[in-house]
Amino acid sequence: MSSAETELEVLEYYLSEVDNGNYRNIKEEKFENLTDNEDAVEAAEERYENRRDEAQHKKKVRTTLMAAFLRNGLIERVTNWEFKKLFPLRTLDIDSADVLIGNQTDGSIILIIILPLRQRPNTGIEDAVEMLEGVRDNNSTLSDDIGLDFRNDRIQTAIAIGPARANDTATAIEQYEQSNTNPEEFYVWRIAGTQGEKIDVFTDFPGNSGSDRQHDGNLGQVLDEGREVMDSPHVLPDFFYDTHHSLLLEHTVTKMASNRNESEIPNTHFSRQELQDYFQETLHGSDSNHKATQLADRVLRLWEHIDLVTEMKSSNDQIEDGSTSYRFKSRKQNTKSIYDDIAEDYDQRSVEFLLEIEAMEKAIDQFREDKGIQADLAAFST
Amino acid sequence: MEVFEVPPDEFEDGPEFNRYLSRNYSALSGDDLYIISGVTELTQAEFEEQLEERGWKTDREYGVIKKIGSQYSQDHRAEAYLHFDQDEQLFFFYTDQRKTEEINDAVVPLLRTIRGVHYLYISPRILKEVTEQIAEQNESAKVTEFIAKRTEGTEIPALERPDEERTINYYGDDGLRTLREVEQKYGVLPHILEIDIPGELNFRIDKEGVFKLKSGSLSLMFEYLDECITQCLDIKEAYDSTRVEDIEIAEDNVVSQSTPARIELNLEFDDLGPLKTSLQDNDYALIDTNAERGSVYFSSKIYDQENNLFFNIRADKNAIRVFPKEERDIGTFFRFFEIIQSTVDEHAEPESINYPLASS
Repeated sequence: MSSAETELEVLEYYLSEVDNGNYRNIKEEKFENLTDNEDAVEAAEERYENRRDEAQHKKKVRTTLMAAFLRNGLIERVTNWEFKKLFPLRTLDIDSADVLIGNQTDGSIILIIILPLRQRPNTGIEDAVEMLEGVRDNNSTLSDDIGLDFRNDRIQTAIAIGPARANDTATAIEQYEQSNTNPEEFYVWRIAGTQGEKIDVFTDFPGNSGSDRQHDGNLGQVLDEGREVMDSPHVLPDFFYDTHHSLLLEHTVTKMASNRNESEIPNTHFSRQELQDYFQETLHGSDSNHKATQLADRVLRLWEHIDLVTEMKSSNDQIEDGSTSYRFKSRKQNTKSIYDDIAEDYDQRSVEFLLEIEAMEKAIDQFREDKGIQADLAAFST
Repeated sequence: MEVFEVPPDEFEDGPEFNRYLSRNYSALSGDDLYIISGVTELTQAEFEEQLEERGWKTDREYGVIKKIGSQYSQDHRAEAYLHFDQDEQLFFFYTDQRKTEEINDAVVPLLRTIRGVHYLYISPRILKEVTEQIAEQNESAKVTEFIAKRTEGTEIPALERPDEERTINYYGDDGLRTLREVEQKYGVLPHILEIDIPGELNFRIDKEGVFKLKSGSLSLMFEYLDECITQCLDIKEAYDSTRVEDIEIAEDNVVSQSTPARIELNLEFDDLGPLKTSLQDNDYALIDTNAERGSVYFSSKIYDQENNLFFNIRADKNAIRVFPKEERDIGTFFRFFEIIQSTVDEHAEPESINYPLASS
């Protein structure tokens, strides 16, 4: 679950259960205190920036991997390894790896897990081990899903990191191996640092470096040398399902407004259906329809709350595609001006939203204490 | 005022028409001859269809040359001779009508509004090189007028206040020497030049592919402009090498894969600020921009308001890769390239990647 989802659940819970009289006062008072508190504002700004950086890092690494392993990619062309799926475990109710590549010839797969910028390598390894169990338990479903019958003893895992984290990751893998009698097969892939978009395998482990730290066959050779993929064909989706909402906004405003370019309908207007279609097309894959619906719900809820979009009255709906119509709250007319206008203070609105959520949590705590409620938000969200 | 009249004749190609005009133009017209040139990804038929949609009609054909005209306002009619070079996908409008009226109001807008068309961009660096080449080959050649500019973010060294943007407009027979001096002192490069080779050729050229022949041989002028045209074709070739292909990952799961063109340059982190500003000032929106220090990494999706089109860029210190998205447009690529040259590195050069096709 992304952070924005968690915050939206807080928002929904607060609005439906808590938002009245005394609790509203608690929330307002707390919100005022937080906005006056420089440290609290700075912390929220930092959180916002870090989440945005994380989303951009993941996008960069995922698109680099896709460029390398998709059909006609620089590595796919010279090995038997091919991109199979993004978020391969998402439908299996398991925390998902980012990318799965497979080798049809010998029935092998590699789960690639991008280590988040603010996650320690040993946490990443613990998560990966759980994912691997899930993969083995769901072998046949996943095999059908990716169109490759893989063997449970031919599953490898690559932890994808920026070059600066190679040593720490290698050390964490060695610690994991030492504390397990039958450890999983982990590799360290250095991907997409400030040098650009390069993929190689890191073999210089502190305790046991060398050939068993690299993959067998062509893939081992190619990754040992490393490949720069910047000049090769890319698949460049605007966003992924977990992309930060500020980035989603940038893509969405320009896309929705540019749709209207040769129409009588104002560029600020868009429909829920148009939004969902754009999301579905961008997310692609088997469950993209469902994910697009979820994503559209999420961003519309957020953007309406922070007063960026508003629902159109049906009498003013010029799109008339059967879904609800919205408009971006801007008086500008052309796509770029609308984008500049909407994006101008989005960072500030988002930071205030984070502070408001903190204030709501305070009111919710008080509400629960008063009412003796034990259930957590997860119970509400289900 | 109507365009000059050419007697009925059949011209086999552009050079033959140029030779004809070189011999006869002074008898056909007392006014300067303007040639407005462009590059396109459209076929000749598609290009002419676009002209027709904008009110231009063919009045008469002279082999490969067509006389065309358009009543662009109640009182004004624009006319020109059109040559479309099918081999190079270049086109040239020839007219002796007024620059500030028919040309600027009816001809030049065609190069801005037709999708898949762009003016024949001549980089300031190439303009300067052509000038030096002419000076070397002709002892009597002189630059009599120039407009030279220093643009924001340029890497050209300047002795005086290098952070200032500036424009220098100069008239005088010592223009070449002055141009060298002001380049060194004020870090400017020419955008418009007038060159006079007494008794042979007197012409004016600007970076947007508009040439004015004041006197002399049109064929000779084209000889000198060969380098400009070659460079423009290099940009087009890089654009032509880009493509968007559908790749099937699994059944009913198709993604769009984009092959980029490279713009070779010297990019530093500090160039990114002026580049972003310049793009925004030129009606581009930068979306999901990611800039990293270190060895420089920069990526962004870009929206081109002028053409209502998106593309992606990814850059390191050596090159910017331009990835088309969904639709491509040559004008968008040229416009972006021109901004890169003026803002980041005037030596930036386009390069085709020629990556093998997915099916090969």
